Amino acid sequence: MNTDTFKMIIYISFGAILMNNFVLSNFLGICPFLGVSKKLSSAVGMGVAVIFVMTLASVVTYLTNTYLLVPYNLEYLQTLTFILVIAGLVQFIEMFMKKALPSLYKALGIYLPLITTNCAVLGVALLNVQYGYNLWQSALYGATGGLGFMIATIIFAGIRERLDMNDVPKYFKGLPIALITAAFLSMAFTGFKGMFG
Amino acid sequence: MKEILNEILIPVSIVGGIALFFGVILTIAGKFFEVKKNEKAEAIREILPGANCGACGYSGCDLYAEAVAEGKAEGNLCIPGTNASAIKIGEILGVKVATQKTRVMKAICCPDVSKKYTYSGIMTCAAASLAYRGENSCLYSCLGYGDCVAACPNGAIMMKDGAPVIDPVICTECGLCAKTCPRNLIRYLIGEEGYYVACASEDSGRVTGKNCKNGCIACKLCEKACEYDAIHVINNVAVIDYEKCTRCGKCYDVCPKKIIKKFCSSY
Repeated sequence: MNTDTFKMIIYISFGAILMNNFVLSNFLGICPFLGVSKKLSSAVGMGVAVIFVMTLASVVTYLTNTYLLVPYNLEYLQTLTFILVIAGLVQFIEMFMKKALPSLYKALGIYLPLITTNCAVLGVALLNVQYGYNLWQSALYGATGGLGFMIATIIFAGIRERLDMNDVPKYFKGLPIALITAAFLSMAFTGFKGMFG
Repeated sequence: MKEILNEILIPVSIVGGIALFFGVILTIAGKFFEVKKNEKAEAIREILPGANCGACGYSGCDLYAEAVAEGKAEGNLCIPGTNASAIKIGEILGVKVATQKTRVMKAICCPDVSKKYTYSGIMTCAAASLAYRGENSCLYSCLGYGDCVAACPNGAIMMKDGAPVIDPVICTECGLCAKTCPRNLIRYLIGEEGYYVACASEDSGRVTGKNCKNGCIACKLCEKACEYDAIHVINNVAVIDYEKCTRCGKCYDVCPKKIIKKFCSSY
């Protein structure tokens, strides 16, 4: 492995996990971030499902884009085709898992269909094209982006679990205090932006 | 002309092709990967409300339906589905499912109690109970400052004659009031209707009688009147065993202090 490749790996993965975290800096995938972060265990399940789907979606959409859309100058159809491809693929995988890996299906089952049309998943596909990543770079960006989502959601779930036990003023209870917490978390993550100068 | 046609045809055929490809694949996969579902489980799942609330102890209606169909779980655990779902599930399984025991929350005190001193601090039960265990001479009585009223998220509790009255129709049996009460006076009563002892005083009959006009004096008349061995005086206060109680009301008739009262879940 030469130095350039290594640099690229560091650049992509740290960028996706910390500096440009999908949830906290790009504001993609906010809805599962808020919805599935009430309990730590479900946050972990969702995180794993997101990593899985985002990696897969990155690879498949890269292939679709390079071999179907670009040769015919159809880049303007990216959003439409990507939604179609991701939704179809995840549906297929869900069916496959239900039959072949029932235990994994039970662990991820509820979350998989939830994230088929998630904006983080579509976002990673479109950003891959925008940044001009090649196949392995796309896959890495998808996986690390999912990891970034998982880390953000797990941190947030941990905070929310503790928040439940605290004496929050009545009108801040529930979602308001969660949103304020998310804002602080996002502010904290902007601190990572200066990491590589 | 040909160029325009190409500009339309190629995108349409590509997107349409992808859609068709996935459509065909999914249809085949649907047949190929079809998981044989338990017919009973399917039928039971139809009955359940589908709220996935988890009140039954399973992580969703699907899993609960499966567990019931396989005989791993009782058919009466669905709380949103109420007894109606339990009866229907019983019909499917061909067995009689015991209907859910309904519960009613009640405050078991009706104080008519003398005061030790006049309390003028923070007007909450929690604060009042800290000052010499409250102003009431009875250490088990309701303090009457309404911490339970403030705790109730649904506004089902009202203070009446110094003790909380819970509206069983509005009450969702969340139990927050019971947790809040410093005297632990709000309890679950088992059954749709029946009788309960509206006193929690564990003082001896003589002391209770001196402190409060509406206290259980541990005279044991109810114990003697009961034909089903369902009511006993334990720690100087009558306690009803709802498993044995037949709701005959003999204890209610015989109580000299009239502190055995009726309750009903529908009003």
